[in-house]
Amino acid sequence: MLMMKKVQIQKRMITRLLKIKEVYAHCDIPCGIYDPHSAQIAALTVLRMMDLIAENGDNPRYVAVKEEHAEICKHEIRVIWGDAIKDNSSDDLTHKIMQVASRCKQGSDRKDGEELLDLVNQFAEKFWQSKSIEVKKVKAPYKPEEEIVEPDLQ
Amino acid sequence: MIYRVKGKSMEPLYKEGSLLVAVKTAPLVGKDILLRDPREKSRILLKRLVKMDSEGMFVEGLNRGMSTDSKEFGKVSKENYVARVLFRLW
Repeated sequence: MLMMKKVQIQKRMITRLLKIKEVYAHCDIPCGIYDPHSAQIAALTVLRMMDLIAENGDNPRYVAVKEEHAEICKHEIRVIWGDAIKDNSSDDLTHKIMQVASRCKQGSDRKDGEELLDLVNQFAEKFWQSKSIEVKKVKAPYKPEEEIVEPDLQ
Repeated sequence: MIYRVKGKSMEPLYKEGSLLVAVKTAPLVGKDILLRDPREKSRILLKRLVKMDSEGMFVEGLNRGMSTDSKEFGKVSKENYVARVLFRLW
Protein backbone atom coordinates (compact mmCIF):
# COMPACT_ATOMS: atom_id res chain seq x y z
CA MET A 1 0.00 0.00 0.00
CA LEU A 2 2.81 2.36 0.99
CA MET A 3 4.70 1.33 -2.16
CA MET A 4 1.66 2.11 -4.35
CA LYS A 5 1.32 5.55 -2.77
CA LYS A 6 5.03 6.19 -3.36
CA VAL A 7 4.67 5.27 -7.06
CA GLN A 8 1.64 7.55 -7.41
CA ILE A 9 3.53 10.45 -5.84
CA GLN A 10 6.48 9.78 -8.17
CA LYS A 11 4.14 9.80 -11.18
CA ARG A 12 2.61 13.12 -10.11
CA MET A 13 6.06 14.68 -9.55
CA ILE A 14 7.33 13.54 -12.95
CA THR A 15 4.15 14.82 -14.60
CA ARG A 16 4.63 18.26 -13.06
CA LEU A 17 8.35 18.45 -13.71
CA LEU A 18 8.17 17.39 -17.34
CA LYS A 19 4.90 19.15 -18.25
CA ILE A 20 3.40 15.95 -19.60
CA LYS A 21 0.53 16.35 -22.05
CA GLU A 22 -2.50 14.09 -22.22
CA VAL A 23 -3.35 11.91 -25.21
CA TYR A 24 -6.77 10.35 -25.59
CA ALA A 25 -7.14 6.63 -26.21
CA HIS A 26 -10.65 7.63 -26.82
CA CYS A 27 -14.09 6.03 -26.99
CA ASP A 28 -17.31 8.05 -27.31
CA ILE A 29 -19.72 5.20 -26.92
CA PRO A 30 -18.29 1.76 -26.13
CA CYS A 31 -21.07 -0.15 -27.85
CA GLY A 32 -21.21 1.94 -31.05
CA ILE A 33 -25.01 1.72 -31.09
CA TYR A 34 -26.70 4.56 -32.97
CA ASP A 35 -30.44 4.58 -33.58
CA PRO A 36 -32.77 7.56 -34.18
CA HIS A 37 -35.66 5.66 -32.60
CA SER A 38 -35.17 7.41 -29.23
CA ALA A 39 -35.52 10.79 -30.96
CA GLN A 40 -38.69 9.61 -32.69
CA ILE A 41 -40.21 8.43 -29.40
CA ALA A 42 -39.32 11.81 -27.87
CA ALA A 43 -40.97 13.67 -30.79
CA LEU A 44 -44.10 11.51 -30.43
CA THR A 45 -44.15 12.29 -26.71
CA VAL A 46 -43.96 16.03 -27.44
CA LEU A 47 -46.93 15.69 -29.79
CA ARG A 48 -48.90 13.64 -27.25
CA MET A 49 -48.31 16.24 -24.54
CA MET A 50 -49.49 18.98 -26.91
CA ASP A 51 -52.71 17.02 -27.48
CA LEU A 52 -53.21 16.54 -23.73
CA ILE A 53 -52.61 20.25 -23.12
CA ALA A 54 -55.19 21.09 -25.82
CA GLU A 55 -57.71 18.69 -24.25
CA ASN A 56 -57.14 19.35 -20.55
CA GLY A 57 -55.41 22.72 -20.27
CA ASP A 58 -51.93 23.76 -19.17
CA ASN A 59 -51.20 21.07 -16.58
CA PRO A 60 -47.65 21.74 -15.35
CA ARG A 61 -46.77 18.05 -15.67
CA TYR A 62 -47.74 17.98 -19.35
CA VAL A 63 -45.72 21.12 -19.97
CA ALA A 64 -42.70 19.74 -18.08
CA VAL A 65 -42.77 16.40 -19.96
CA LYS A 66 -43.20 18.21 -23.30
CA GLU A 67 -40.14 20.37 -22.63
CA GLU A 68 -38.09 17.47 -21.30
CA HIS A 69 -38.77 15.32 -24.36
CA ALA A 70 -38.13 18.16 -26.80
CA GLU A 71 -34.70 18.41 -25.15
CA ILE A 72 -34.21 14.61 -25.31
CA CYS A 73 -35.06 14.76 -29.02
CA LYS A 74 -32.42 17.46 -29.57
CA HIS A 75 -29.82 15.49 -27.60
CA GLU A 76 -30.44 12.20 -29.44
CA ILE A 77 -30.25 13.86 -32.86
CA ARG A 78 -27.08 15.77 -31.90
CA VAL A 79 -25.30 12.58 -30.80
CA ILE A 80 -26.05 10.76 -34.07
CA TRP A 81 -25.21 13.84 -36.14
CA GLY A 82 -21.92 14.44 -34.29
CA ASP A 83 -20.70 10.89 -33.83
CA ALA A 84 -22.21 8.62 -36.47
CA ILE A 85 -22.77 10.79 -39.56
CA LYS A 86 -19.56 11.39 -41.46
CA ASP A 87 -20.58 13.86 -44.19
CA ASN A 88 -22.30 17.27 -44.13
CA SER A 89 -25.50 16.17 -45.85
CA SER A 90 -27.56 16.29 -42.64
CA ASP A 91 -26.33 19.66 -41.34
CA ASP A 92 -29.31 21.75 -42.51
CA LEU A 93 -31.84 19.12 -41.41
CA THR A 94 -30.20 18.84 -37.98
CA HIS A 95 -30.18 22.61 -37.56
CA LYS A 96 -33.86 22.74 -38.49
CA ILE A 97 -34.66 20.01 -35.92
CA MET A 98 -32.85 22.02 -33.23
CA GLN A 99 -34.90 25.12 -34.09
CA VAL A 100 -38.28 23.38 -34.28
CA ALA A 101 -37.63 21.40 -31.07
CA SER A 102 -36.89 24.69 -29.32
CA ARG A 103 -40.18 26.09 -30.62
CA CYS A 104 -41.90 22.98 -29.19
CA LYS A 105 -40.31 23.73 -25.82
CA GLN A 106 -41.53 27.33 -25.92
CA GLY A 107 -45.12 26.73 -27.02
CA SER A 108 -47.79 24.10 -27.53
CA ASP A 109 -48.79 24.62 -31.16
CA ARG A 110 -49.52 21.16 -32.60
CA LYS A 111 -48.18 22.27 -35.99
CA ASP A 112 -44.73 22.63 -34.40
CA GLY A 113 -44.99 19.12 -32.94
CA GLU A 114 -46.04 17.69 -36.30
CA GLU A 115 -43.17 19.48 -38.02
CA LEU A 116 -40.70 18.14 -35.43
CA LEU A 117 -41.88 14.56 -35.95
CA ASP A 118 -41.74 14.99 -39.73
CA LEU A 119 -38.17 16.34 -39.58
CA VAL A 120 -37.01 13.60 -37.20
CA ASN A 121 -38.58 11.01 -39.54
CA GLN A 122 -36.66 12.55 -42.44
CA PHE A 123 -33.50 12.33 -40.35
CA ALA A 124 -34.20 8.65 -39.54
CA GLU A 125 -34.82 7.90 -43.21
CA LYS A 126 -31.51 9.49 -44.26
CA PHE A 127 -29.66 7.77 -41.42
CA TRP A 128 -30.89 4.27 -42.29
CA GLN A 129 -30.41 4.80 -46.00
CA SER A 130 -26.81 5.89 -45.35
CA LYS A 131 -26.37 2.40 -43.83
CA SER A 132 -27.98 0.85 -46.95
CA ILE A 133 -30.97 -0.24 -44.87
CA GLU A 134 -34.44 0.10 -46.40
CA VAL A 135 -37.08 1.90 -44.38
CA LYS A 136 -40.82 1.59 -43.95
CA LYS A 137 -43.47 3.89 -42.50
CA VAL A 138 -45.58 2.50 -39.67
CA LYS A 139 -48.30 4.05 -37.59
CA ALA A 140 -47.42 4.14 -33.89
CA PRO A 141 -49.82 1.76 -32.08
CA TYR A 142 -50.40 4.30 -29.32
CA LYS A 143 -51.60 7.88 -29.19
CA PRO A 144 -50.97 10.20 -30.97
CA GLU A 145 -50.95 7.35 -33.57
CA GLU A 146 -48.70 9.26 -35.97
CA GLU A 147 -46.46 7.68 -38.59
CA ILE A 148 -42.83 6.95 -37.88
CA VAL A 149 -40.04 5.76 -40.16
CA GLU A 150 -38.48 2.45 -39.13
CA PRO A 151 -35.72 0.26 -40.57
CA ASP A 152 -37.21 -2.57 -42.65
CA LEU A 153 -35.21 -5.49 -41.29
CA GLN A 154 -37.16 -8.26 -43.07
CA MET B 1 7.92 14.67 -25.58
CA ILE B 2 6.18 12.66 -22.88
CA TYR B 3 2.42 12.03 -22.90
CA ARG B 4 0.01 10.47 -20.45
CA VAL B 5 -2.74 8.19 -21.75
CA LYS B 6 -6.36 8.90 -20.92
CA GLY B 7 -9.02 6.36 -21.88
CA LYS B 8 -9.24 2.67 -22.59
CA SER B 9 -9.25 2.34 -26.37
CA MET B 10 -5.57 1.28 -26.53
CA GLU B 11 -5.71 -1.39 -23.85
CA PRO B 12 -4.08 -3.76 -23.13
CA LEU B 13 -0.87 -2.14 -24.40
CA TYR B 14 -1.54 1.33 -23.00
CA LYS B 15 -3.64 1.58 -19.90
CA GLU B 16 -5.24 4.66 -18.40
CA GLY B 17 -2.34 6.62 -16.88
CA SER B 18 0.42 5.00 -18.97
CA LEU B 19 3.24 7.34 -19.91
CA LEU B 20 4.78 7.22 -23.36
CA VAL B 21 7.47 8.97 -25.35
CA ALA B 22 6.61 10.21 -28.84
CA VAL B 23 8.71 12.09 -31.39
CA LYS B 24 7.94 14.09 -34.49
CA THR B 25 9.23 11.67 -37.11
CA ALA B 26 7.42 10.37 -40.19
CA PRO B 27 4.37 8.15 -39.54
CA LEU B 28 4.79 4.43 -40.14
CA VAL B 29 1.99 1.98 -40.86
CA GLY B 30 1.62 -0.54 -38.03
CA LYS B 31 3.01 1.87 -35.43
CA ASP B 32 1.13 3.81 -32.77
CA ILE B 33 0.77 7.48 -33.51
CA LEU B 34 -0.57 10.68 -32.03
CA LEU B 35 -2.96 12.69 -34.16
CA ARG B 36 -5.38 15.55 -33.75
CA ASP B 37 -8.98 14.47 -33.30
CA PRO B 38 -10.59 15.45 -36.66
CA ARG B 39 -13.76 16.43 -34.77
CA GLU B 40 -12.08 18.46 -32.06
CA LYS B 41 -8.64 19.65 -33.12
CA SER B 42 -7.50 20.66 -29.63
CA ARG B 43 -7.61 17.00 -28.52
CA ILE B 44 -4.72 14.66 -29.34
CA LEU B 45 -5.59 11.01 -29.91
CA LEU B 46 -3.46 7.90 -29.48
CA LYS B 47 -4.26 5.26 -32.11
CA ARG B 48 -2.60 2.57 -34.24
CA LEU B 49 -1.94 3.60 -37.86
CA VAL B 50 -3.48 0.78 -39.87
CA LYS B 51 -3.41 2.17 -43.42
CA MET B 52 -2.11 5.28 -45.10
CA ASP B 53 -2.67 6.52 -48.66
CA SER B 54 -3.22 9.76 -50.56
CA GLU B 55 -6.67 10.14 -48.96
CA GLY B 56 -5.31 10.10 -45.42
CA MET B 57 -4.62 7.87 -42.45
CA PHE B 58 -6.89 5.06 -41.21
CA VAL B 59 -6.41 4.64 -37.47
CA GLU B 60 -7.84 2.16 -34.99
CA GLY B 61 -7.76 1.55 -31.25
CA LEU B 62 -6.27 -1.74 -30.06
CA ASN B 63 -9.30 -2.31 -27.86
CA ARG B 64 -11.66 -2.58 -30.83
CA GLY B 65 -14.88 -2.89 -28.87
CA MET B 66 -14.13 0.34 -27.04
CA SER B 67 -12.63 2.76 -29.50
CA THR B 68 -13.84 5.75 -31.44
CA ASP B 69 -11.58 5.79 -34.47
CA SER B 70 -11.57 5.73 -38.30
CA LYS B 71 -14.41 3.21 -38.22
CA GLU B 72 -16.50 6.12 -36.89
CA PHE B 73 -14.90 9.29 -38.24
CA GLY B 74 -13.24 7.94 -41.40
CA LYS B 75 -9.75 8.60 -42.72
CA VAL B 76 -7.89 11.46 -41.12
CA SER B 77 -5.99 14.00 -43.16
CA LYS B 78 -2.20 13.70 -42.83
CA GLU B 79 -1.96 17.29 -41.62
CA ASN B 80 -3.50 16.05 -38.35
CA TYR B 81 -0.50 13.80 -37.67
CA VAL B 82 1.40 14.87 -34.54
CA ALA B 83 4.03 12.28 -33.59
CA ARG B 84 5.01 8.62 -33.52
CA VAL B 85 5.20 6.66 -30.26
CA LEU B 86 8.75 5.47 -29.56
CA PHE B 87 8.16 3.55 -26.36
CA ARG B 88 6.04 3.29 -23.27
CA LEU B 89 7.60 4.36 -19.97
CA TRP B 90 5.07 2.48 -17.81
